Amino acid sequence: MKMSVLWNKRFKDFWTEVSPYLRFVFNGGLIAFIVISFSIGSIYYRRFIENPPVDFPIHLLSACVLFWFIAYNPVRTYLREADLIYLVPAEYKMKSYFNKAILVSFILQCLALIMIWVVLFPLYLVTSNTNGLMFFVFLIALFLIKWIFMIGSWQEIQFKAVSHRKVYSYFRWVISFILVYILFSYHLPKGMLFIALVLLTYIVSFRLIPKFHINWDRLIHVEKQHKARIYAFLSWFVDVPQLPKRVNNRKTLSKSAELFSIQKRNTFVFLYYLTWIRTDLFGIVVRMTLVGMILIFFLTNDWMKYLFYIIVIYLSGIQLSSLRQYHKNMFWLYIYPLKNELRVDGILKNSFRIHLVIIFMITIPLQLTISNLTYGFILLVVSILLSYMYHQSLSKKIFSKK
Amino acid sequence: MKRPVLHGLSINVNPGEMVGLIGLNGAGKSTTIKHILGLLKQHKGEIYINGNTLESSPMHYRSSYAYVPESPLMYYELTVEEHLKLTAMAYDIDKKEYANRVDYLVDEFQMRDKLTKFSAHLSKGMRQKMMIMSAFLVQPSLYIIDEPFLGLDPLGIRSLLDLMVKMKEAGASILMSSHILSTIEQYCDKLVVLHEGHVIASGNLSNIQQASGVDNATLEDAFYALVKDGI
Repeated sequence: MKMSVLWNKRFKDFWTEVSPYLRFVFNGGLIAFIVISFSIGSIYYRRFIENPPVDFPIHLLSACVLFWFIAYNPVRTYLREADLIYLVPAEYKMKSYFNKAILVSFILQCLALIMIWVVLFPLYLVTSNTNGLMFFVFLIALFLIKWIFMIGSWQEIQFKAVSHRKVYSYFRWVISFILVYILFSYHLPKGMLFIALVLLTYIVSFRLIPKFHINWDRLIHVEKQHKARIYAFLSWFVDVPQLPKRVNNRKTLSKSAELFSIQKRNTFVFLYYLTWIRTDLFGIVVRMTLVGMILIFFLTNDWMKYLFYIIVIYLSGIQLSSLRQYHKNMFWLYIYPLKNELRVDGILKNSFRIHLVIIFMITIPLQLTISNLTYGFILLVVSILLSYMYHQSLSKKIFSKK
Repeated sequence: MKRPVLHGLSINVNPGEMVGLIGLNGAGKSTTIKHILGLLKQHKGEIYINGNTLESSPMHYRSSYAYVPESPLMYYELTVEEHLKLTAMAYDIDKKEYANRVDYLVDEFQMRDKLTKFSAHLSKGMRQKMMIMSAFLVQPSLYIIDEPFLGLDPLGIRSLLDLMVKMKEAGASILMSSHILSTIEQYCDKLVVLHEGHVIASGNLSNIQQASGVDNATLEDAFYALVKDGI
């Protein structure tokens, strides 16, 4: 079998695996959100272009926006752990596989680059005295630079020493920015010449660094990370069972779990308390609360404060309810001499307690800054009541499923 | 209803007895164990632990055994110590008793410096030790141990065997499944040979030798003689 065919198959497999989730992404109001913000944004953008400020730093802006797309060159290889056994023996026949992977990744990323450039170019056109032809000149130049860094990123993965990898990846980002900035702000032919010289040195320098023919371990690790990021994104919209578990120690906070005494009724309270502290759920909820607190503090309109207060309580409640997805299929839960009620109780106790803390936390900036403290107090009481009722209803919901 | 895998099985594990469950891959050892754990429901017959069935009093039934799985099953969010504490909670072990038992087990299995490590960061052998420690922490009437030796270092194997003997002498029942026949022969009081879902021989070593028709055979030779017809 030609190895590029295997890549095609892997590529297709991945999309079949992901496609059921995409439905939820597009259902979830995300599209509406994008369309609305895009339309609003384009109105403001058009106004801005019609009347751009004098001395607008367009070169700097272009460099800031575009260099990401030049420096970030992930290659999707779709390698799996089992490949360490089945594909490594064919290492020297893998060229077509990896070429395909690099090429397709390059093309897809160039599409993104084109989209950004399409948006940016009108501004560029009015703020610097050029013509429409330059759209293509710059685009092709950007493609070329990106291609070199794409090859560079690929080579970096093959480096034997982690230190080399780190240094090169750091330089890739710095040089990308400098080169893109030079491309836009210097006299074109001279600038291009300089860029070409830098890139040539860059490429030649790779010969000096010790490399693996194929760094399988690293490639599989990178691929895993990439996949995890995609699933992490999808998990915002729908529960993703494939998501590799990320566990964060959070040592100081975890210490508090020592307070749970050894008693049957504490089993699941203990388990879900630690689960909540150590999983991503913690970060999501804490960030949401902090952003809410800051917004409420700084907003000037009381009604907007109330609105955000309610939004944070609502969203954090929804987030916390995902706690019940953890350990759902854990083997030991069928083995322990414990009733299922205890599990539900453990989940909801944690969820309700955490929610209460959140409610109190965001009440602080509200009460500090609103004009009518009574409203804030009523809001607090109603929120606690609603949270209680919400958790009661969840308890019924989980039970009726069993 | 699925076609039954096991046929007319009868296994007795008495207090103070270690029973070895042996058989080829696919003979039905894991299925047998799943039935005893209460994860599968048998079509016919009853399973009793301490006189209780899973249906009659599920909590008594479940609290009277502990299980060491063939491959470790762990909570990725918990450290080794927290696994032990969780087990202690689930089985309602007294706080002081818990401290004593953990103290003994971590020394026996040389896991003291691993207590605060996350289970995901442990080697296969250490995960296995964590499973063994969790099971022996409970000190139940019946231990169900499924191929425990894979990945364990020689010291760990020795500690496990010593511990099993100690528990057995204290009156516990042990049902162990393994392919390491020499160890089974050396440690088990009774053997059950499973083949294609049937018990084709059971009893002590001489019973097995008789059934195989080979006198003075090691368990390995007797076992080979018993199952080779089926191959």
